Amino acid sequence: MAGIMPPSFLTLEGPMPEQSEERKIDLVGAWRKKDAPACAEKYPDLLAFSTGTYRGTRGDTQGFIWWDAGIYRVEDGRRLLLSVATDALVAYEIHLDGDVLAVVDPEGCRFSYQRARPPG
Amino acid sequence: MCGCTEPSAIDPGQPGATSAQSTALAVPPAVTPGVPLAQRVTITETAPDGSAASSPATQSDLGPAALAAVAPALLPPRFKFCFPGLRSGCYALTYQPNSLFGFQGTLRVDRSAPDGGPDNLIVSGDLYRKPLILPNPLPVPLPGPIAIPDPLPQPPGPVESPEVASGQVQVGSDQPGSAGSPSLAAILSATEAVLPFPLSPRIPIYSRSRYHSYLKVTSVQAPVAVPAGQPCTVTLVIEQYDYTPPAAGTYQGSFPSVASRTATVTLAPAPAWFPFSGPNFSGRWVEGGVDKGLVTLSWVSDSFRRASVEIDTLVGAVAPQPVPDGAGGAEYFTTIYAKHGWDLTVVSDETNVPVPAGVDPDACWSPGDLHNLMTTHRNPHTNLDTDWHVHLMVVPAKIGCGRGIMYDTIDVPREGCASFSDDGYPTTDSANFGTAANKEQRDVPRAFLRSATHEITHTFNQIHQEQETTADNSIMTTTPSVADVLGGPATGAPGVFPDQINLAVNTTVRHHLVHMPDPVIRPGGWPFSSWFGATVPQATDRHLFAASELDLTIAAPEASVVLGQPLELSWVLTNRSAGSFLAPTDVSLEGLFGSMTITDADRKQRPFRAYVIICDRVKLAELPPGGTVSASHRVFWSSDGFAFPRPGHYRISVAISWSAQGIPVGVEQDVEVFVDFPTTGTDNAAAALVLNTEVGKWVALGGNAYHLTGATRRLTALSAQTGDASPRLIAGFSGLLPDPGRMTGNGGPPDDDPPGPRRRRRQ
Repeated sequence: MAGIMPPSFLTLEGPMPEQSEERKIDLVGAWRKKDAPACAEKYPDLLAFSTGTYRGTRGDTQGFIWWDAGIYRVEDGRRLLLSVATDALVAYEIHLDGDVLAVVDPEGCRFSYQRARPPG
Repeated sequence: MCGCTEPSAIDPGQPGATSAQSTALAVPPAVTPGVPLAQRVTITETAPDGSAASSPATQSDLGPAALAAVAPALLPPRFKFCFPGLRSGCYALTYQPNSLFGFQGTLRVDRSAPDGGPDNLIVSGDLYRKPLILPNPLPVPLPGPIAIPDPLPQPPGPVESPEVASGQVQVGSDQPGSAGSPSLAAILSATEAVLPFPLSPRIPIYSRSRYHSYLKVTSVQAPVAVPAGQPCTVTLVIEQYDYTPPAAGTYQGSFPSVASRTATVTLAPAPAWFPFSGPNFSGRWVEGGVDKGLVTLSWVSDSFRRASVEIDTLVGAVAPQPVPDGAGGAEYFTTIYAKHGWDLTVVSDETNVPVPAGVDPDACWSPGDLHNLMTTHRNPHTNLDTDWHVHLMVVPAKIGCGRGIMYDTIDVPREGCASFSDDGYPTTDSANFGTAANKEQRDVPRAFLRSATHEITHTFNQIHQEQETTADNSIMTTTPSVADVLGGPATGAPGVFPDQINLAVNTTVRHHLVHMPDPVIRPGGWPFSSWFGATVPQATDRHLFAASELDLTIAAPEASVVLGQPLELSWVLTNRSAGSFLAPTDVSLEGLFGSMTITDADRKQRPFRAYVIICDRVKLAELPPGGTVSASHRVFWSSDGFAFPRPGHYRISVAISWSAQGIPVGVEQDVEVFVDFPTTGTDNAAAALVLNTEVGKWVALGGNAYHLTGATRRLTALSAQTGDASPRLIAGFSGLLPDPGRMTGNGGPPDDDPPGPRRRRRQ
């Protein structure tokens, strides 16, 4: 049985652009979901990163969200490790371009958040 | 010793010990669960003439002592006061309608619910179908179960009653002697006494497959007094929510959004049968003024539910230990769960479990590795149909792994969780960890016990309170948030982490744990969090045949297809019993006795219906022993859309259902398929060509539908791709491609060969 491979053909975007490993990514602050296909429904409309922890907030029409509350850290400048609703620590590929945080989940779902206000 | 400020630990054996010892509800839930859930009720006292006596009574008002103190002065001698004995706790419940089928289950009378209104009262229950006992027309060859007297109408758990006796057959799959259920011979031959039911009644646990309905009590009425010589009764108004069981191989059924029916049950005290010793009642189940059957209630426990936790500890790890409760006692998983009325049994099983090959025990563990460890070390006799069993694996891991995980969304839902003894409380997670800051869990016993209890409670399908209510100092809030609630500048519960950690769930979680329907809570039941906004389609009730009676087998030519490829599925219904059954003569989707449901990787279910209905000659007829009925369907498109609109895993469930003497009966089976991603441009282009509604109709009609000119053109283009350039999906269109010789100028020939699906065969 074939495995699931990230289906670039299914999205309009190409692969994630390379990002400098030296670049420090600071996610602290509030974020609002920007581009979200149906596969990203389980991610919260609003997201708030503090130092080491995060909190997700459901939108008015959202069901259960997989990012609800927990810990997170960024590794290698492009890998977000985040504890989900089951407390599992899951790795996501991320790319920060200005105020837009692009995310690819382990199933290949691509979505993004727009920074809602400056950190601090 | 901690300086705990929370309520002290309680004696779980003390009657009424399940009182409101949970964190008070400061914030109401943000969501209403998508399942029926009992809410608070008040006790309405009625006067001897049946009218409402006074304002709703408080719990203390109903105490026998209070009533006895005033009785002589208030009542004339022709009346007697009633001392309502609807004691808090779990009751074994039976309901025997005036028909063949009976039900058994539990009723939870929760008289200490913090959110239970002025009477602190919430009452809920669950019913399971009793195995059907039918006369056996044929002698039962030995060896087999021997006849034993059944001393109880419904002996409570931990095992289901041995209903099967000589001369009887049991409809269903829970045969004595099968895995997890010892035969009577084995019980009688055991070197140690093993009784088919315990001498002391326990909270019953029944098989998941027999779940029938959820009971929500909306009213409790009790007379203040009755004429001398008449019994003091308690009347319950019960909303019953019938359960639609999950498709075979899946775990989430559904409840209707409104009650299936409402019953009034008036109960009078009745003598308790051995081994019951507490309050016992019997009465009648009445719907719309019609007496439907007999109800019995037998009190079995102060607790509402029971479960067990098995703890295995990896070499190098340390399991959570009991901690002081601040009052000379200790707190542990058992006492924490007793606070919300659960009888939890903890079995500290293996220690020094070897590290699996290829796993670094001091790194963050993957769910798959933990699941493998559970399956290899869990008690092999674990049976989720007789024990609400949770496996807790303790491994070292390291700081930064999250302290624990409810990893088990793999296969059977929520069987296990894990706790990390060498993970801990880094200041990067919270600045309010106090003396626990940067320590490992094994060195902070109270926080460690809390964290492990948090994971265990996840396995009972409870979610983070940050999402459901708000962060608070309770078990289901994440650890950093608890520290911040205790030590943050704007908390409502200032305190010190870890000493002021409250080892209790909050009111919302308590309500769920005590009153949510069994399938939602119990391990091996609904998938994690699936009750959150669950959809509630209409319920049906269907009694399934055992595979040894009527067997449904499904065959797919391959375990995978490529995106856009129709899947040829066939199935056979076989009578494997020694007698004949009335069964449909046609089990195809077109005949309407067959139905199909497709579940995608996101667990979304969609019906897959036939595009053409052919049921004019379909009927029920005798299916002799060994007889078969078969059908097939090219699964591709229905009026609800494409069966496989995107790559990934799918589960296809086929059900054959009919009515036997007015009772819905049937068989179900399912098969897994994987839809491959297109890996070449040719495959991609072919998928784009055929994932078209007209092509879908063409396939659903069995081809030859030349009036569908768009489909004809697309499929002609598809058939032109031959040789090495041939797309993989073309294999699914075998026999379906247009015949160029039959096409007219506008795309199709005269319809001399009427389209239609392939039919079924009966042998």
